[in-house]
Amino acid sequence: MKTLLSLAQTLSLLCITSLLTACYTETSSSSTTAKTEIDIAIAEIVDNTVTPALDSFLQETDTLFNLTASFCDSTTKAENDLLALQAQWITTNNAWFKLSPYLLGPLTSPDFLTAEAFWYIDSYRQRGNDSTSTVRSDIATLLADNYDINSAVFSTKSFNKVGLLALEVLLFETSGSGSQYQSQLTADITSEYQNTPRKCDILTGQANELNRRVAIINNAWHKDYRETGIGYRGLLVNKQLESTFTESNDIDGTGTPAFTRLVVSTQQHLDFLSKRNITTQSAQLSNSVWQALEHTQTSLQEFLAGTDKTSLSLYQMMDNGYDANINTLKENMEFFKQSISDKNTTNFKSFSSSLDGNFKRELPDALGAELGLNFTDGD
Amino acid sequence: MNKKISRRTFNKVLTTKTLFASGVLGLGAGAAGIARYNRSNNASANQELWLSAQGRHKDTYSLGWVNPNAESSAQQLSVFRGHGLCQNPAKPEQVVMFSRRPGTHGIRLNTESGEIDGRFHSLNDRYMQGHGCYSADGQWLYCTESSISTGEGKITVRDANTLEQVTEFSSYGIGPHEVKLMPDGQTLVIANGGLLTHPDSGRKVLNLDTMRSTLTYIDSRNGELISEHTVPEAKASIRHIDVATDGTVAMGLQVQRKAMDNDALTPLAAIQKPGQDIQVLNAPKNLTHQLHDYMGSVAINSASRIAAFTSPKGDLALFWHLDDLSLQGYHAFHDVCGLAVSQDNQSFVLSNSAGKIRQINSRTLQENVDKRLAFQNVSWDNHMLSTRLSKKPPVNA
Repeated sequence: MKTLLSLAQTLSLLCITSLLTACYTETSSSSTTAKTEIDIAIAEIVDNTVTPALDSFLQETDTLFNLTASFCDSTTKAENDLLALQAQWITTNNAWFKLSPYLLGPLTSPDFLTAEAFWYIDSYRQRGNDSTSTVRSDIATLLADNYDINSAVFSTKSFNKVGLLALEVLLFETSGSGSQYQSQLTADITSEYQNTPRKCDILTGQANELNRRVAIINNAWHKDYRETGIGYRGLLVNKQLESTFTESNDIDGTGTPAFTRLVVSTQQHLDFLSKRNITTQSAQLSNSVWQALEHTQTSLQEFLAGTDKTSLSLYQMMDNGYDANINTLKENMEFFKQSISDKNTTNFKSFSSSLDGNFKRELPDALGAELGLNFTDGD
Repeated sequence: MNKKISRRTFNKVLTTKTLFASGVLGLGAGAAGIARYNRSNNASANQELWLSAQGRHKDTYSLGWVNPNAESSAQQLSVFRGHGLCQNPAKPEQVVMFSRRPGTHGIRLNTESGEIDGRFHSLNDRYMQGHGCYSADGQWLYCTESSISTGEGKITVRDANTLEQVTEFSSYGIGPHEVKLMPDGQTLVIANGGLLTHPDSGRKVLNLDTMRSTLTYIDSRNGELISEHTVPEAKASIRHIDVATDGTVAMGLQVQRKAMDNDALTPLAAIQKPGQDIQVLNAPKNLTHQLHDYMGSVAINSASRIAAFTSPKGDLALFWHLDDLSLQGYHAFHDVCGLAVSQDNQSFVLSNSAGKIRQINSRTLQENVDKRLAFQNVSWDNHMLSTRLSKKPPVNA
C-alpha cells in the first residue's frame, strides 16, 4: 500500500513518501485480511438481518405462488380462500418492505443501463411512479385476448406490469381499466375468478414470475453471483467485489467498501421514503402500507441495534464518546416509528428525511467510517 | 497591504503584456530549475505531476501531489479545504490552489521546491468561489469570487507575482464558480452557477426560486461582457468547465432538485461550440439517474476529442465525443471526482476520496488496470490538475 503521510503539522514541512508495495491495491485483497470491528458488524448485519430478510421474502413468494395455484386449481374458489390469498400477499409485501432498504448486488443492475432487478418486484421503488393504471390496462388486455397464457408472457413484460403491484391489483379488485368500475368486494372478486378462468391464468402466471425472479436473486445472493461461483454475500463481506470485478467496469468493481454500500443503500431508501408518496401510493388496494412500513422500521432498527444473535451492533460501536450521535439517531428512530404507528404521513416524511441525514453524517462520523467526501451542491 | 491599481492602468499594463505574450510563452522548457523534489524522486526535467486538494479534516487539509512515474506522493498542509488549482503557463513550477466556497484563502506552491511560496486572501466584502486561471502570459491571476454584501459575482485580478489584487470585473452573474481562459488568450469563459450564498449561512443556497445560471464570456483586458448563454433547464447550475483547443467549452451541471416542480431527469453535461448555442449531452435514463443530479468535474482531451465528466455521487466517470455528441462510455469508480488529462494526452486521470487513482485510455476509454495507484490516508478532493515542470506552449498554439 502506498502512503501519503504528513510528517509534521506545520505549514512549511514538506512530506515526500514513496511507494511501499505493489502498484495495485484493493479494498481488500483477500478474505484472510484481519477483520476490523466494522467488518464484524457488517457481516453480522448481512447474516442476521439482510440475508434472513431475503430468505423470508423468497419463502413468502413461494407460499404466495402455492396458494395461488391451489386457489386456481380449486373448482369452488371460496371467498375464504381469496381472503387467505390476500393475507398472504400482505405478508409477502411486508417481507419485501423489510428487505427493501438493502438494494444490493443481485437486487440491482450492475451495469447502470439495464433495469434494476428490484424494479420487477416493486415498480414504485424505481422513482415513485404509480403504475396501477398501467397494470389494470395490461390485465384487461390479457383478459380480452385469447392466446395461451404461459410463463413467457410474464417473463418478457416490462417491470411496471409485473411484481407485487400486479398481484395486488389481481387479488384486491375486479378487473377493468380506465373509468371502468373496479369492485373491491371479496364476493365480486371471487365471482370473477369463478367465471373467468383466464384471470386465474394471469394470477398464477404473475405469482410464478415474481417467485422466479426472487429465486434467481436468492441464488445469486447465496451461491453464484454473476457466474463467479460465489454468492454475493460472500463477495461482499469478504471484500472480494473489487478484485473479482476489476475489469468489468461496473458497480461491483468501483472499490466501494462494504460498509459504504450498506449504509448508502439504507440512506438512499430513507431518501426515497422522504421524497416519494409511498404512504398514499403504495399498497393502497390492500390498505396495508403502514404495517408494511413497520417492517421497514424493524429492519432499520436491526441494522443499528442488531438482533438477539448480534455480538457487535453499530450502536455498540458508536458507544465511544459519541453519545450525542447515538441519541440523535435513537430519537429520530423513535419518532420514525411513532409516525408509522400514528399513520401520520407528514411526520413520516419528516423523520425519514432526518434519518437520511443521520445515516449520512452521525452514523459514519461516530463509527469513524467514511462514506465518501462531502461533495455538495456548489462544489 | 494590497496595492490598488486603477482599472485604466491595469488595462494598459495587461494589454502591453499581451502583445509580448507569444514571445514569453514560446520559450523552451526551463530545465535548469528542476530542483530537489524531482531530484529526490529521480525524475526528469519533464516530470509530470498531478496535484489536488486533499484531506477530510481541518488538520489534514492539504495540497497534495503525485509523481506518477515514481508512484510517490507528497503534500503541503493548507489549513483550509482547497478546491480548484491552476498552473502558471510562464512559470510552470507555480501552482495555485483556491479555497473551497466560501473560503477566503489561496496558496501558491512551488513544485520545484515543494514549498508554499505565496498566500493570498480575499479582500473585505469578498469570498472565494473555488477556481481561477492565469492569463496567457502568466502575469495575472483571475479568481472567481463574490461580494458578501450584494452577492454579485466577481472576477478578481491579482498580480501573479505578488498575488495582490489589482482590480476586479463583474462575472455578469451570481456565484461564478469556474473560470477558464479561451484559446485566443484574451477571453475568459465563466460558469456562473447562479446560486446565491452568504458566508454567514455557509453553503446554503438563498435563491433557489430565482436562480439563474449563465455561461459568460468576458474580455480579460477590460472586463467587458462579450456574450451570455444559458442551459435549457433553469434549475441546472453550470459549475465546471473546460475548454478544447478549438474553443469548444464543456460544462458539468448540478441540478437544484429542491427548486424543481417535477422529478424529470435532466442532462448534466453540455458543450458549446464556437458561435453555436449550448447543446446538452444525453445519456441513457438509468445512467443519468445514477448521477444523482451532480457532476463534479470536467476535462477535455483535445487530441481524442473526448470530454470527460465525473460524478462522485454516481460513482461514475462518463465520456462524450465532442463532434457527434455521442456518449462513448463510462467508468465506474467509487466517489470519483478528480479528473485530468495526462501530459501525453494518452489518459484521463481519475482520483477519488479513498486516495485511489485510475487511468483511462483517452481513445479506447479502457482502464489501464496496471497503472492503478492508491495512497493510504489520502482523500483526493474535487479536482485534479496535471502539470509538467516545463513551460507550456502558448494556449493558442
